[in-house]
Amino acid sequence: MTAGVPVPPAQSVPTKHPHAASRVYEGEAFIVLPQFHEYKILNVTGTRIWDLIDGTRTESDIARIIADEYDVTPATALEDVTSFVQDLKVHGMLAGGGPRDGEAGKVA
Amino acid sequence: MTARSSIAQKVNVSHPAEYVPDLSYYRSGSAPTMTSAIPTGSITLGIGGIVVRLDGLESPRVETLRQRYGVFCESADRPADLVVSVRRADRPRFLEMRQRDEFYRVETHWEAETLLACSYEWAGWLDTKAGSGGLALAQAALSDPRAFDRSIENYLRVAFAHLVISRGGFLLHSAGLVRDGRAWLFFGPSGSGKTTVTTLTPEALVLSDDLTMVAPMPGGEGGGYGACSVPFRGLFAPEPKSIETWPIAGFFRLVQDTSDRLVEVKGAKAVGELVGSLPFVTERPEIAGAVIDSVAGSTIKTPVFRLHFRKDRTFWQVIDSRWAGVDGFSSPGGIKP
Repeated sequence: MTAGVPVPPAQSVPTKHPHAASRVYEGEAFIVLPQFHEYKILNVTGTRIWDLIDGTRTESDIARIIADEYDVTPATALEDVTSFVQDLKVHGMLAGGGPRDGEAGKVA
Repeated sequence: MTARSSIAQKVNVSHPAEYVPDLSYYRSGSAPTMTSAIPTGSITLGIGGIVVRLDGLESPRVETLRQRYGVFCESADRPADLVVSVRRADRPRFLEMRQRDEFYRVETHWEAETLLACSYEWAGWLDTKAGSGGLALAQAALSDPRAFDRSIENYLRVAFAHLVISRGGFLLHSAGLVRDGRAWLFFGPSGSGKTTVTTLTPEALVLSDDLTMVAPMPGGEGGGYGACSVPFRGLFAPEPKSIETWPIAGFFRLVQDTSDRLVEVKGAKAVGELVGSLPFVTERPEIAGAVIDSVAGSTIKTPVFRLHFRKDRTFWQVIDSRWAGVDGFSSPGGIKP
């Protein structure tokens, strides 16, 4: 990969924000974001994607697994995973690149 | 198939500090020990079985604190979970108020296993594993008795909020009421009705109308969770009368409404309801996981509800009918720590 060339979303490797602490209860992830003084709850599908985000899988890798497990087309799964990953970025739940990333560490 | 996130709720907010001492401040001797001619003494406090001793206090201050903390004062020979050395600081203040109506501000950060915290007139640290801590009082705290009380109390709030997490419990912004040998905890943000439900229940033993300690009951695994009073009440609220721990019947998130009803919440949503009402401890990534585990542990043993209520005591009819015939409490009474 050439430095400075944007990575296509499907090939990007999402990574959880190192400050995010999460646990799963009854199939739903509960995630505390101390840097924003917020918590978030993911639904069952969102929780499965969150679980698959391990810093090594690309969005395409995750979408393939979701397509198998939820019996949807690969294209539909990729569209949903990409959209959801973007949502996680916007809310500061992933490391790097999110609009709120600059706020991280603002406390003390 | 739609993946989504929901319920983004603000928890306690603080701001960047203009001056937060690090550990080197305490190690450098910048905060010398109290070296006045006045003899020094100690005070030992116990809350929910957690014991903290403050050393190095000027003797007249010790008596003032004994009166303030009343039933929470322990015998000096009781082993302490945290021993805190109190010192004079070389500064007039640590933080400055940014605006006249600023909510009392406490800044925290961690250095390895050590939590550091500071506010306007004090700065301190604590290491819960080592069982030691320090508290530096600025000149403003030493020259004004109310600032002194406020400084001690807020350091202790931080200390107990973190000590109880390591025991699987937490402090909860809640009204704690004891009826029929059980604690009923009503929680929610400021203005949700905690003081209202307290005043509407005159027959109850009031643990607090603002802040209650929640922790696993003595007896080990399989037991439920208990609640007890804390002495943190501001400067003018009535002094708590009970140091006993009471088995918790339920957690009730207050929702003002035109009728009374209970809606049980479970799983992640139940954890979220409670986490939104914790002081201090959700601000730091270092312990966020432990906080979630403590709160989740309590929701497994104790039901969590959203209580929609009118501003009269009819909400108790809804609660009493829900609990009619329920007898899951093996020890319906207070347990002294």
